Amino acid sequence: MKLSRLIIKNFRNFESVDVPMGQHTVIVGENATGKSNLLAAIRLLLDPSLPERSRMLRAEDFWEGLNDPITNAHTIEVSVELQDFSDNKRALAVLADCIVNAEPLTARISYLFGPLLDPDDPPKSLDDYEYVIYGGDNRDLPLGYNLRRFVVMELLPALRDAEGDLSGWRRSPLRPLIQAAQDAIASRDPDLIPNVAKSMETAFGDVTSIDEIAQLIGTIQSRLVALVGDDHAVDATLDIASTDPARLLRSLQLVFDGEAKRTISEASLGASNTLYVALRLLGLEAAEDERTHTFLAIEEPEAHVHPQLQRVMYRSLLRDSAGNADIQSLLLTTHSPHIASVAPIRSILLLRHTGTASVVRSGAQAGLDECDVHDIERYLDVTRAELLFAKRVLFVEGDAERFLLPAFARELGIDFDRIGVSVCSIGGTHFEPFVKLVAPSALDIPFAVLTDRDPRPGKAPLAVPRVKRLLRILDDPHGALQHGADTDTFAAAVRQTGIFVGIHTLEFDIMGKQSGRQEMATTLRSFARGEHCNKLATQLADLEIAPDEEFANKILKIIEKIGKGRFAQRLAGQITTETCPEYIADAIRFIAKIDES
Amino acid sequence: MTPAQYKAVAHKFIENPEQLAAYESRGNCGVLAGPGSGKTKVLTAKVARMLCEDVTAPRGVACITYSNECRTELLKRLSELGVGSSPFLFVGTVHGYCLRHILRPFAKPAGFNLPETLRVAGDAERTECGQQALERILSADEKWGGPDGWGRLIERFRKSRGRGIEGLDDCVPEISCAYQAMLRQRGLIDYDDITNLAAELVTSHQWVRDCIAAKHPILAIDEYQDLGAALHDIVVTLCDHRVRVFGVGDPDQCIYQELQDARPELLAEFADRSDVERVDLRLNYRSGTQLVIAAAAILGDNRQHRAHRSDTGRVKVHSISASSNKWLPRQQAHAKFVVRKLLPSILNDGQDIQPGDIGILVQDRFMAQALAIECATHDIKYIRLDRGLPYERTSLVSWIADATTWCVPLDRGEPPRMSYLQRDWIAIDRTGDRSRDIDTAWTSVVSFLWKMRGQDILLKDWLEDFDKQVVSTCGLADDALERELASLADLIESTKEDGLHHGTPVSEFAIKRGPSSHLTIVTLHSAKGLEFPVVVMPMLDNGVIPRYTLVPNSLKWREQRRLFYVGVTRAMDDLHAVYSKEHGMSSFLSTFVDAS
Repeated sequence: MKLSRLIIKNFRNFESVDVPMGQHTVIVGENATGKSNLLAAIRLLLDPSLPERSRMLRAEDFWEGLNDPITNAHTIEVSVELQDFSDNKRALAVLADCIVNAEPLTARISYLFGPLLDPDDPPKSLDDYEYVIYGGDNRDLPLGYNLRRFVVMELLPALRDAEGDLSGWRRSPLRPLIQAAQDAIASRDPDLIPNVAKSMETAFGDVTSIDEIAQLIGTIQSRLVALVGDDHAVDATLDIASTDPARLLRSLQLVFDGEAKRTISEASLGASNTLYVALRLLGLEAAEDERTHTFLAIEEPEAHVHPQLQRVMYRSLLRDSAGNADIQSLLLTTHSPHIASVAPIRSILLLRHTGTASVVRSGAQAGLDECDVHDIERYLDVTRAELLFAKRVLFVEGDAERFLLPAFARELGIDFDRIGVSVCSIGGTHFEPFVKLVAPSALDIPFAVLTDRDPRPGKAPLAVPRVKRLLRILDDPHGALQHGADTDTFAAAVRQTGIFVGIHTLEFDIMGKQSGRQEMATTLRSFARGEHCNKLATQLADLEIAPDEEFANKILKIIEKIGKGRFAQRLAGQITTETCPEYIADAIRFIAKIDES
Repeated sequence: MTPAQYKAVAHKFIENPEQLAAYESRGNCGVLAGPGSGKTKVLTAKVARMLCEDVTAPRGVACITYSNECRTELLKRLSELGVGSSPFLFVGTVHGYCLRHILRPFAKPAGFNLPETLRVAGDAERTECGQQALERILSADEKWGGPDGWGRLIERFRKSRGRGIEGLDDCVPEISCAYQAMLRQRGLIDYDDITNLAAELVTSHQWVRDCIAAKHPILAIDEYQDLGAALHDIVVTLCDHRVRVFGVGDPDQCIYQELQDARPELLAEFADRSDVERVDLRLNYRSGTQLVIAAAAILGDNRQHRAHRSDTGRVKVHSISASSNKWLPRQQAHAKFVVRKLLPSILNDGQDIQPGDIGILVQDRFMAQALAIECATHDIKYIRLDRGLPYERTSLVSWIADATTWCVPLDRGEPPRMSYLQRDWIAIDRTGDRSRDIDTAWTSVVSFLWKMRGQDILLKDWLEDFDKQVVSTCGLADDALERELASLADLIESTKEDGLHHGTPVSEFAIKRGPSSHLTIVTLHSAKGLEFPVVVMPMLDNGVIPRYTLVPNSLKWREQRRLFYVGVTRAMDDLHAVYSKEHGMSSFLSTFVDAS
């Protein structure tokens, strides 16, 4: 079963949210964008442990952009849609009354907090408000607790105390597992546990009857009596564990590190957190008898877990389970690029501030095909999902641009880090999946694309069909496609859409500048690659005008030998404003300005 | 829930292998239950057992029966078995089930273009739509049947779902199509729509079957023979879809073929499927041996019914003088004989028989009326249970009946629990506007009930207070509850001068059987499910039952025979049959007498 869609109206940070969701949900966003509130919204529907009075919302739960929400009779609404439950008969039994779509079979559960309707008597206070939880789109079918308790979301909050929970009994994630084991033992052989308990009691008796220990027990007890008198003194003694058969298994503890048998309090925070999540997941599987499905929500699963472990653990939970119908759906809120980088792209929910409300965007709404998904997920994995944490993104073709653009920006007085621009090098010219992902219709991350013109003899430059494909993805908001005939006009027209086309390729364009030739020559020499290279560097520095194709290619060949990225990295230290080609300067100013309105 | 409750009941099934077979059935089961064979006991124990042992929440059991009264009775029995309030047990009528569990959740996602809130047409609206349909299809000289006659034909046609009907006019399908379109135009559906649309949803959508099978993997059906073709189609389709069905009924007691196109053959059709275990309950716990044998003889085939009792029971045939060819004077003569001669002799029989032990079973309400007048003039107390109630027996009326017994408990049986009253009240209230504050309404109901508790006042006053203090204040007035409110208004009307319930105290409203001081006058149709130590059946004249117009062995003739059969099988000890010597004995009666 999965949550396939989330709709929120007027709840806390959210004015209006309607997003599709994937098999899992990984919620990313800056602080105070409402990641926890998003889970809180879902809890109104799916968390039966939430006390009733928490479902009676308060004035501060209305979206703050509303004027006098109560006297204006505004409502708060939350709906989730669920799919992939038809193989689970018990889940289907609950959701049968909630069907909103037959193909694919989709159920909806909704929470509505609104005024009791009386047209003559508008609400005066929250006393006139009531909530209802119903299935489908028919409020005549209220969904009672006796059904809701079977489809549940369990939340592990950010401030969980994994160690504390693990060492107690009542809240221990071990508890349901041990209880299940105990039941199984009892039905197999009812005498087994009592017998073990008896022999333990005998063995422990030997310990406490050792003279020194027995004496110590006596001392403790008499001191207690001396202190508070007979009536108040508890009957204190020393023992190793309870030997009451009913409580015997409770004294089982998790121990680590083989022979040393260290207890949980000695384990690292990371280890105990990892173990905690693992046990919770096991516990949910064991509880499938009482519930038909549990969604597990974990706030900040990265807590105390080091990056590599985060990646290993959540890659297996989020990705390797693909295609398995019985998999446990997870909802995570995270600041960790390591977790985001192994998350399936369709599971990403991106939260961002805009004015007074947070907007929520989903990777599932990007219209990505399987190839796109593959490209993007590989990219996010390698780049640690930097793209998802950026406020604006500048897509470039290769490493040369990745090193040079922040340098140019700095020279132009713009600090990419400060304004949250990520320069993302996609390693080629296949921008489409990335643009699909960040487009306004999908994650809606402000972006610009910087691409080479790549001229071809006798044909339109390669950049033209490349850019046209991007414009189609973006629905060509500024009508640039009609300027396709002449490449210069076309390149000028697409700038409004944030696509910047070079004159030739980056290195060519830098060589087109006097200062650029000087800086490249200096950089070439610095690699000390011998006579031939130095001679070419001198020739380059001496040129009065842009080099011809043949000469430029000689220079490029050397740069390629050095490595474009490595060369650019060193060139970045040399670069000056005059060298910056106009289209690059324009791209930098464009990405810096977006969003400022 | 204490399973011991149904297990204790089931323990007694050991003495009856037939009952035990039904109770122990593991798969689909079709139970053909003869009169007095304890079918409700078997059904309720089996439902309780299946709910406790064979399904796990949130999956459950749906139990479908014929009328709101049957539903109330089943719920009461199931509550005594400890499962009545389970949220995973649905008990309701066919229409309640189809509306709540098929149409409401699935019609819209299946793309049925129905009105947002499904409102069931009232009688007046149906008549109007029917008339408009007639006018559209027929020329003036063709309307010979009048709207009533046509209305019944349309209804039977719509209920038959493509199964043949004897002597059906060619234009009926066309008229019923037009009628249905008229209803839709007004955003209405009628009861036949509910079942037909539900059947269509179930038969044409795999996912609908999946959902139903998930929610209610077990379907229990009471009074199968009266439930009609749509439900049978649903049952058979779901049965093919691995829903387990436990169907109970008696084809021999199917008495709604003429009125509602109920079909006696459907239960046997179901029970004889290769994947259904058929169980016949042939042991009659009700009647004396002679009565059991003679009743079976009426049906022609050998039903192999056996009596559990060892005494014979008595059949007495009275021939009286009633020469008139007109029915009314003849009925009056029969009423006179029954009240003045027969009743005193029964009561002074030395058998310690009370008036409450006597049921007079009549064929129509005119006979009931004649008896009522005669009783009144001789100061004999009676209650009437004929179908000719001046109000519709809606769920609200059923609820009121329960509420009155909560206020003034009957001298037999447990009064209903407040929690059941609340459940049913909310179910009624919820059919209306959802935004209404149900808690406040229920609070006013509770304070009203406590105020009325223990006060055996006139029903008239009780109802008027209820109307004033509950209905009009809690905002129950609502389009969706039109039928319920109309039935309440009619009920209140019936407590006024000359009305059926004029002078009825609260304590007598709900009683199915009068207190021992009251005899019961009941039509054959309404007598189903009842039993009396002494049954009196007047007007068993040749030409009256079966009607002289009927061809022997025709459908209608057979239905009248089943009606007669229902009558004679109500008797536990004594059956008194009365006929007019001038007209001769009914052929059914003579078969019966010959066999006894």
